Amino acid sequence: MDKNEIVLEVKGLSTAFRTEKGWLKAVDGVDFQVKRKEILGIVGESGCGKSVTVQSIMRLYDEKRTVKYGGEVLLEGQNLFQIPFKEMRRIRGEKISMVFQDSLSALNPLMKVGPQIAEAIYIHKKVSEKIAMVQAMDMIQAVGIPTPEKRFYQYPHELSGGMRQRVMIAIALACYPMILIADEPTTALDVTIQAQILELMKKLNREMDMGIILITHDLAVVSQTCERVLVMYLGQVVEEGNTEEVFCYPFHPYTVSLMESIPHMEGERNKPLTTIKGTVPLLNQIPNGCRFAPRCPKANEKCRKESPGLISITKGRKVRCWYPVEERGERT
Amino acid sequence: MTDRDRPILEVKHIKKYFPIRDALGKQMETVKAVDDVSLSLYRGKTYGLVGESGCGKSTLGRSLLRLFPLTDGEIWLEGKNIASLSQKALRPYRKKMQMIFQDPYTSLNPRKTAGEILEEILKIYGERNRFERMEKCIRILETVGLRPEHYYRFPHEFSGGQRQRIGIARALLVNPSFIICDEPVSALDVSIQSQIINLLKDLQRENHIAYLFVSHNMSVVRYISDRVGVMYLGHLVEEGETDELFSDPCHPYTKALLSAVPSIGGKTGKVELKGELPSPINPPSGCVFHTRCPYATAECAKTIPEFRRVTSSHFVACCLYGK
Repeated sequence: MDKNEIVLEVKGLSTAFRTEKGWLKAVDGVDFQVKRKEILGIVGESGCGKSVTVQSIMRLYDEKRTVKYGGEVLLEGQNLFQIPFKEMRRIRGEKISMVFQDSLSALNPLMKVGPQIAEAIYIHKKVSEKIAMVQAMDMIQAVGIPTPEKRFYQYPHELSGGMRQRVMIAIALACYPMILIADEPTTALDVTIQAQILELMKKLNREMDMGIILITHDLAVVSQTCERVLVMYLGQVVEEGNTEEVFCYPFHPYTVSLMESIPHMEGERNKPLTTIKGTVPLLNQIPNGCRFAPRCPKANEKCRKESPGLISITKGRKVRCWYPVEERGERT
Repeated sequence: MTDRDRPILEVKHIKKYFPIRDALGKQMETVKAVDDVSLSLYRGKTYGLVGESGCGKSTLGRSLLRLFPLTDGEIWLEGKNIASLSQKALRPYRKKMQMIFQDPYTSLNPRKTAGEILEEILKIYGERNRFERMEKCIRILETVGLRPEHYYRFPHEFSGGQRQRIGIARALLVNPSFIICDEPVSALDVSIQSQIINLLKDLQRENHIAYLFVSHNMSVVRYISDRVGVMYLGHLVEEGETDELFSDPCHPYTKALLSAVPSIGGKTGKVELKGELPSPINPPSGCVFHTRCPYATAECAKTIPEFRRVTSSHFVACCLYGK
């Protein structure tokens, strides 16, 4: 099987919500691909549309009245937006599955965790409950929960946050999906537990034929986990590329400012942190021209009037900026 | 010792146990949330407190404010032991100590405007003149980077960062000598986080306030603190000057904690810490960390480690240190 085969392709995805202020586009023209066996990171601040992007891929919103989708989501060449909504239930969990941030509210509080994993298996695989339970036990061992025999028959509230997150991963992986979407899987966890969960995801990615989309606001997590990264701002991708290159030589001023605004574990402590002035604008107040222009330190007339497209700079690197940062010095 | 070198706040052997009662009120067990912790806060300096969730760092912060009665220990503020004072006798000291909370969404009253929230404090401390109260509040809003017109706005009209600024303004209003910052930037986006950290640092430089900065984010603590304490299961396991502690951690727990922090471009550290924090209801015997410690010996399960001196300002509580 080709490691670089593209499994999921998103073309010009846009998602608009109906609100009191009219239709607002939370995601506006997002393109990306996920290869088999790759970990793709999506980073951005809250409100940049990263969660809406992946939830649109899964078609998790009620589309009749309140949501309008645009573009295409191709899973192995099949456009997910064209298949009936009922068919989607078969794809969710079987071909694409998802891990959420808050494991306590995502798991069923009235059901023991073992049967919850088994449920995902017998619904999709059409096997008997008994076989599903056996497979569920294998799954709970695969995600590294200590004393699995005991934990299998416990309720979610009896487990710690890290263990619940492992159960969520077990449910997501129960049917061996092609794509695993992890939406801030470690944000609610301590650093030590975060390191364990990220290690687990990397291990599963190596061992199973599965592409992972990892959504996070933590640049350091992306840097250590993902091969490729998308940086999003206000519903658009502003920079894309190989993780190492993006973090060593960021082109977009937003990426640069994001990196400079976090305190590091090494280096200078006494100089003030760089800040990005202002806040992320509301969706009904999207600025003209480049969306980052009002907060950009280098914006000029052109930036405020014309919006830049996502252009390729070098192989695999794309940036949405009129004046990409050109310095080539190693950043700290 | 000059006045400047003397600590503003000295905490000695503080303990906070929570009883667990059954339905009839009979005490079943105790949670040892904070167990024998001592530390000092100095004028214009920041003491960072780190540890995993459930290690008792927030409880310690709240204990210092006497938000609940202490089980044991002394808190010396301006030559007075406030640990045993009655709530009424504590009143004048309350002005000296303030707190900034983690969640700017729930720590502000949604039915009051920013101005009312701030004025309430001045009313409590006996500022009778309405105009003077308003003037003071507007001045403090400007100090924290908000505008005078924000005085009339409600919390829901502000962004998360702006709300946290109101929280900071509220703490500053009575000129406290120290502020407990309980995860003040954890709920904020990175670009806003840096604005708030810079603001806290500027305010400290101007007003010489001492901070107790409680956080689980190691890089933020490293950036803002002068001195750092590492907590594990209610115990302080290591304490030292920031640079020294981060460059030369001596306790195995501190080492593991630091290795787990992801960094941009850095190599992924080995996962050194297996398993999770044990329950504080029945903490392990001896050294509380021995169940997860990769170097633990039979002795660790028996002896409770004393604080040992690494350098003049760096202490570690580990039986194995120096062996």
